[in-house]
Amino acid sequence: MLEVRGLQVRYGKVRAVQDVTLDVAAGEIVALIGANGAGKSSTMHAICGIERPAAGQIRFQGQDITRLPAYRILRQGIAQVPEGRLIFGGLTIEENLRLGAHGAAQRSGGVDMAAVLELFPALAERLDERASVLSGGQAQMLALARGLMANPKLLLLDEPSLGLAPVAVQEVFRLIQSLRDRGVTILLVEQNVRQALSVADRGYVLEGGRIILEGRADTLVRDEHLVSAYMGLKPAATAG
Amino acid sequence: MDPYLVSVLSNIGMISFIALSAYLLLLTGEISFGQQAYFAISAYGSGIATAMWGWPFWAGLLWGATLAGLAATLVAIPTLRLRGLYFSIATLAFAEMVRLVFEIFTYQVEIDGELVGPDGSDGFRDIRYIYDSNVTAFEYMLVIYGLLALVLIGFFVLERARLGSVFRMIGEDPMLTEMQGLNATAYKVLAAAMAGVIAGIGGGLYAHLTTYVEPKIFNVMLGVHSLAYGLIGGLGTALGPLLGVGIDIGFLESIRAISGYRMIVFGGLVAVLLIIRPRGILDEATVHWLRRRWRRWIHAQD
Repeated sequence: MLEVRGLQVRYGKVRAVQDVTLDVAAGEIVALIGANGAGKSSTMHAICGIERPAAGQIRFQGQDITRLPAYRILRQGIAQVPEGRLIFGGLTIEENLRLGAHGAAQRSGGVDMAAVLELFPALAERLDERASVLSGGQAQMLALARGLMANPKLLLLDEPSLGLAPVAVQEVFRLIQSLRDRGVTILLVEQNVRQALSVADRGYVLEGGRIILEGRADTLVRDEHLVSAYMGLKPAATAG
Repeated sequence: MDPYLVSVLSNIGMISFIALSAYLLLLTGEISFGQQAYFAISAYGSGIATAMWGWPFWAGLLWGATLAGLAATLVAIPTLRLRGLYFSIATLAFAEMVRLVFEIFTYQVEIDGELVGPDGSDGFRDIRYIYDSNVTAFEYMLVIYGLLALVLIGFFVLERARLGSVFRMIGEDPMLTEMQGLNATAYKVLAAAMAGVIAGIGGGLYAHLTTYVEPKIFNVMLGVHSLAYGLIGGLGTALGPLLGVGIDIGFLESIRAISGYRMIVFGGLVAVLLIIRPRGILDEATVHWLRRRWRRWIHAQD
């Protein structure tokens, strides 16, 4: 479904992404893991059109989307839920959702908001409130719901658990799980490696702007390098 | 009606157009210091049409507003692609350029043995259509407020329509808006064009009320004030900039005891409000709160 070949992203002279090649097949959840500054977000930004790649090619459903502007990439069916729970605080929750449906409306006549809200009962009760009153976890839920309103073929999730309370993190991953059951294809960027690999089918490990490791999620979890580099400091790992 | 009151109210009405024009751009997050350019272009354009070409008032006004909208679009297309301060600086530069062009722009024809038309820095006299048609100052004030009401209705429709939400989204975060599949730049150009037309309506009305325009009226202070009206009155509703105009012209300028200190009081007011209410008196949170109260009250009546 998504093919990224030899991607390079530069900010001035700094090469954030050196050479990334990855694939996402329909129905898969693929995790992109790595430390801060490994190039995860830059890769995501290049896919969704916010950042122009310096080199390489991005194809989606066989079409070259490398140089399309962000708004046209969404219309192709790739929605991104950006890092930092970005929502439109000045608008109501309903407005946030309805405008997320814009991409879907361009393609197919819109998605059913009620169907999306079934996944987010907490939002359903507060549709006419300003989005700025939401807590961190709820704001992330709204950002996710807005992404789904675009009825995407591929959903890019950039650090959905970042900065959330543990309960909210659980909720986010439960949601990702239920999206997989509905057959949504997801490319997930996470620092929370254990959690990410527990929901993903496959994973890529980024370091210094390059893919250094790839494989099935259940194999990666057992990879020594990965465990020591990214999970070694996690309480769960030290306890076990 | 007291002629002084009529003249103050007419002034408030005309300035409201340029305040609304700056407000529309503020919604999309763009700060324009140059809406006076479109006010000026339409003042000259509509004046030329009625006083020199013999067009009727409404055709002249439409022509002036169209010219203003076109000019605004042409300025917006190259500048709104840029981010940050560039648009503000470009609008300021364009407005000063327009003013300087009118300083040397001379185009006169002889009508009834007299030369009529813009004469460079001496200005453009005898835009007499309204007086020649025996329209009283009071009637003309009604014309101003009739048009203002139409523009306001347009704004209220916009607020409830998708387009209004899109403008506010762009104002909050243009990049995130693009990620929703919306071409933020195209919407900004649309907002700039609409803002140009609105300022243009005000300019055309102004020229026909005063019968005389000169380039120095359209200096940067007019633009800065227009911008300040929305910031004082509030960015939550189109009534915000009108409140700003009311406070400045209706209150500060009209009360003669303090009129000499108007600029000092006005400047202080802007500074204080920017600290305590950065998005003005009627800001989004207040307007949203009022709307919910109002809806609940309506429900309670049922």
